[in-house]
Amino acid sequence: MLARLRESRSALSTSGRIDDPGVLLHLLATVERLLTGVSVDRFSGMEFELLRRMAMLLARAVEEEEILAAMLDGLREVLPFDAAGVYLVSPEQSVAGDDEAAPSGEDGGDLTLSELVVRGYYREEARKFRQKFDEGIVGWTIANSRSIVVDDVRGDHRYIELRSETRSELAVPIISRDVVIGAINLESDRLAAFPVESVKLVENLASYAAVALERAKTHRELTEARAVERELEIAREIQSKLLPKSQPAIPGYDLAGLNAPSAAVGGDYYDFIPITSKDLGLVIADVAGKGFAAGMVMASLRSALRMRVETTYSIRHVIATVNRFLFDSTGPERYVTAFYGVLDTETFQLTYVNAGHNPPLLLNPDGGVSRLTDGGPVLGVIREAEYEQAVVTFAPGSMLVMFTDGIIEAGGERGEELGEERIIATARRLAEKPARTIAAAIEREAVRHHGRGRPIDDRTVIVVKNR
Amino acid sequence: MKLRSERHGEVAVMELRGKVMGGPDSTVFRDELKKQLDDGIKKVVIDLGRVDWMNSSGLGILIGGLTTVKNAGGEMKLARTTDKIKSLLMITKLVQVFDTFDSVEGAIASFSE
Repeated sequence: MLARLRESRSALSTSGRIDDPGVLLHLLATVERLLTGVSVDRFSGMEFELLRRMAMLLARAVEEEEILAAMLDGLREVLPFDAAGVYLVSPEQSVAGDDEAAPSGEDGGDLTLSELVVRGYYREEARKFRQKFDEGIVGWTIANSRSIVVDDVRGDHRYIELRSETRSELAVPIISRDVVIGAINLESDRLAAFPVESVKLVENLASYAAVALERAKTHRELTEARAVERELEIAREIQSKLLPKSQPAIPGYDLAGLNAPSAAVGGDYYDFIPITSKDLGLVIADVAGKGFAAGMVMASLRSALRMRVETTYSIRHVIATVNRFLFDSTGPERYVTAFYGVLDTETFQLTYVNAGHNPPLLLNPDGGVSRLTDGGPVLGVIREAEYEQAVVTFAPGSMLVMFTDGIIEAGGERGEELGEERIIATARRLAEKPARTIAAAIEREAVRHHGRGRPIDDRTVIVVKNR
Repeated sequence: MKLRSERHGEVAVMELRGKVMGGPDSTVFRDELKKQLDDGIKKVVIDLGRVDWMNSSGLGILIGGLTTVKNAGGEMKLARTTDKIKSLLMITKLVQVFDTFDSVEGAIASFSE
């Protein structure tokens, strides 16, 4: 007999289907208890066979209904019953218009029982079971965390009739990590159908049920987490493909763009769009929020912008069109801050619209700084918003520094944002270095200021130098 | 973020505190706002005096709230906007979208004008 148990134990540990070590330990502990605690020899061959089958099933199956159904069906062969159910304690579904009801939570006032697997009830009877968790014999078992045998239900005031034929009843709590999560209930048409010895068997089955329920929950959570992770991976991949792979080479200019995405997919976007042989489009944008949705908005912003750029020369009309497009295609909480400029590389004129974005900084060789603020509101909030465009001279020796809030607001959560002054100081200090070096230094400074090892927003920097 | 609601006659004052950063904050705010609107409230003041910090997602919460209240035929005003929030509204050029007041009382009084 011991050899058989060891066999089932090794089957458990090598099945490879149990991902959570905690659950595996719990499962092994249950088998261990069978080996040592409860006297194995007291079970009849059939009872032992049932427990062995349950252990094997637990090692394979993941769906709790499958395991629990097999458990009830197997139990019926050993311990005949006429109706049975496995019930779960679950939070009450909120009832509309019932706000004054007792608050749900710790006091358990709002918990109900729902059946997970039932046998032998008519449909109507089973439905009646949606009762408060502290009612009836099952309710008593759960409330007191104790098994109970009732030889004649007609003489027990706790009994609530579901089947008129029922005479005796056995209820056993399902306990997982010291919390009662449900109960197994058996009913018989015979008086005193459940001998005291049968309680131990059903209690053992209940600990299997606890493992099955716990593991199914863990499995569900893992599967969900994996699906989300996979989605994020795809979104990250899409996002990285949408950003420029290299900078355009323009005689007399030095350009660099840098994007450091956060752990979650962010909505930062930058682009260099060649418009004519001498005109270069510069874009930097930030979608409010993170995750897959922000990445999708960023992708549609990019295509909207790139499509319009080819057909419309007027920058403010391009932006107004993209604004309407985003208003129509996103929810009210989602908006985009964007800066779009077209640089005439021959005349040094930069024509731009700033749609609610942190102002790019134009550092002039004389030490002055222009903040490029003209434009209009963020994109996607006001459908009929109008945008104005402005022109600045990007004189030789000047440097244009553009960034997203992940840079300028770095550290703000802790109390002090990086701020414009520090960005300007870094850019000035490294003015003679290549644009790429300056962009990287600004990003590094933002990370340092924010504090390493803390969740951080996407960071995007563009530096353009007119040599 | 912490959120507390009070009634002043037919005006609901929702006070936000701490860091307002989107994500779970957004759900908390939306649910409370919906509860107020379901109760028949049409006048909402958002008290921001004790907000330590707000990022772009946090501002998204306020924009979403304004849209929700307007769609329900109501009005939403901001009270005690901090320097950080004022700066966010300036940069995003959404100053004209929100009615802002220096005090909660001022915001409440503005409804009867």
